[in-house]
Amino acid sequence: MLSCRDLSHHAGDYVEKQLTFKQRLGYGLHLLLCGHCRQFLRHFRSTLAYTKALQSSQQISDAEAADITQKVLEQAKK
Amino acid sequence: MLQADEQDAELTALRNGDQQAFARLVKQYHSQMVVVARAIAGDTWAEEVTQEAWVSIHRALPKFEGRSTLKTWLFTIVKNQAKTRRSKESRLVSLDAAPLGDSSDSFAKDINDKFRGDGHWKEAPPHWHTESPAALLEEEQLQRCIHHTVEQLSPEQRAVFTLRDIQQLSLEQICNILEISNSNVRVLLHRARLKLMQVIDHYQETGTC
Repeated sequence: MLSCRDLSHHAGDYVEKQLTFKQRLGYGLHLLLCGHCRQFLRHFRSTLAYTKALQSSQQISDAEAADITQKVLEQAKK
Repeated sequence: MLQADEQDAELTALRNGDQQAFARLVKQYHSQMVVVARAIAGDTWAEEVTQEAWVSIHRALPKFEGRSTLKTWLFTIVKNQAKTRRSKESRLVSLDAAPLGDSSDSFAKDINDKFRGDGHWKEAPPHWHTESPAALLEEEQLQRCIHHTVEQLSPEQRAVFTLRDIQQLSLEQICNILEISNSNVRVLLHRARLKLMQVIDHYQETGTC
C-alpha cells in the first residue's frame, strides 16, 4: 500500500500518466481512502494549471522583440 | 495558440525571411530560450548566447525541413550554442554532475517533515480558500510571489520547469536538450513544482509571499 509520502512523491508521474497500470491502480486506491491526499492532489493540479497559464503569458515586449530582430539582421549580414 | 493552417503560413513566412514573422517568433520564445541558455552556459553568457542562437536560427530558417517541431528545433539550437560557449569558457561541469537545484537537502527535509515516520501526513495539507486556477490568476500579489519564486529556482530547475510545464515538451526532449538523465529531470521538475505549490500554500494561509 502506498504511503501519503509516496503519493506526494509521484504526483507528477500520476498527473502525466507516467505510472504503470498497477502503480496507477494503487495510487487510485489510496486516493479513494485518503482525503488528505485527494486535497494535496487537487492543489497540485491547480498549481500546474495556474503556473502554466501565468508563465505562458510571460513574453518580452514588441519593442524588445523588434530590437533583438534588428540586431540579428545586422549580425546576419556580416 | 495558432491553428494548423496559420502555423503553416507563419512557417512559410519565416522561411521566406519575413522580418515581422521573425520578430513574433523572438517575442514568443526569447525569454524561455534565455532560461535554457542560462542552465547550460551560466548566467553571464545566457543573453549573449541566445542572441547568437537567433542569428543561427535566422540563417538556418530557409532550410528548416520540419523534421522536428519548430519549438524543439529552436531549443536545440540554443542548447548547441550554449554548449559551445560553455566549452569555450571552460565551464565543463555537466548538468548531470551538478546538484539537483538546491544548495542543501533542506528542501527535501522540509517536504519529509510533513509526514510521520510511517509516511502518512502529520496534518492535513493547508486548506485553500481559492482553488480554481482562473480565480488564482486574479490574485496579483500571488502572481508576484510566483514570479519571484520562479526567478529564485536554480537554473536547472527553472529550465526543466519552463520546458515541461510552460512549453509542454516531453521528458525525453528535455533530457536531450539539457543532456540530463530522465530521473534527474523528474526530480528537478517535482521540486520546482512543490516549491511553487508551497508558495500558494503560504499565500492562501497568510495573504503574503
